[in-house]
Amino acid sequence: MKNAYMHLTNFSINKKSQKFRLPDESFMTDDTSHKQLFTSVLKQLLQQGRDIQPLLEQIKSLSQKTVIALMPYIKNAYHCFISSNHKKSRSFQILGFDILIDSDMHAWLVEINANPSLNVYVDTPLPNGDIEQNLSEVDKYVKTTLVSDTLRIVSMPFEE
Amino acid sequence: MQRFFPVDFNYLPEYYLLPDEINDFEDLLRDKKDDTTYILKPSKGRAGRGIKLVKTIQDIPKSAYETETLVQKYIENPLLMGNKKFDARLYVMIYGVDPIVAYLCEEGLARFCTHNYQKPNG
Repeated sequence: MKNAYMHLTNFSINKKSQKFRLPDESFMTDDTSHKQLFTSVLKQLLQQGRDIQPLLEQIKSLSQKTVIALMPYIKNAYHCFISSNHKKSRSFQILGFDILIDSDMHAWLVEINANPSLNVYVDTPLPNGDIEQNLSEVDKYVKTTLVSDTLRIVSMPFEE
Repeated sequence: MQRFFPVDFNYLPEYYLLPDEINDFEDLLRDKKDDTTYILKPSKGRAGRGIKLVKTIQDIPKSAYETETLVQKYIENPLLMGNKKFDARLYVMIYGVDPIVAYLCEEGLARFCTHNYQKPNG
């Protein structure tokens, strides 16, 4: 593989590239940065005249099927820690799904992360060994919304 | 799952789990007539470490014969935006066990490559 910057979308790789542009406060409308809102990509696709509805349906359906496929493992892991007569126990987990869209607008699930990064900084190692941290506004926006929505859901009364 | 329900799980690229399925994977590379590329990732890997593109048996690194590694068919025709490949990191929150409830977060991150995309060459 000659150039990882061309094939791999991993953020940890591309941030090292000379061409990398950190997303700033303009992330809501910016479509040139190397990290963007997913919905801003959808908007650009709409502007290109593409029908995004089937894509969104695929993503929804693949998420559902994947969760169904994971269910036995989740149950097993859960019962390793919590006794089954413990009625009140609830657990939650945030999963990171890495989805690649191909030129036929087919969505592919390429990876699931059980422990997705919630880091809102871009860490750049300096020559002297220190690490410089720059706040990434787009990460902050997406991840704080994700975590606060999650906490809101899990703190609601549970319907039996 | 994909092998039992190929139609329902058509969203997973064809895959092999190494080293267990190394023989099947080697047979596939030996017999394939086309130019398909496979992407190989160590199961324990993070942040892109140890990822390799593979076209022939000679390309398989030694590590894949020893440590758990996933190989997937490489998607060669990614949708490009301004000639750049990207992927979407979306978040699914799972809640409870019986019943299990899952939420898909409407917002996510699109992560772009910094260089223009070209099909993998030999």
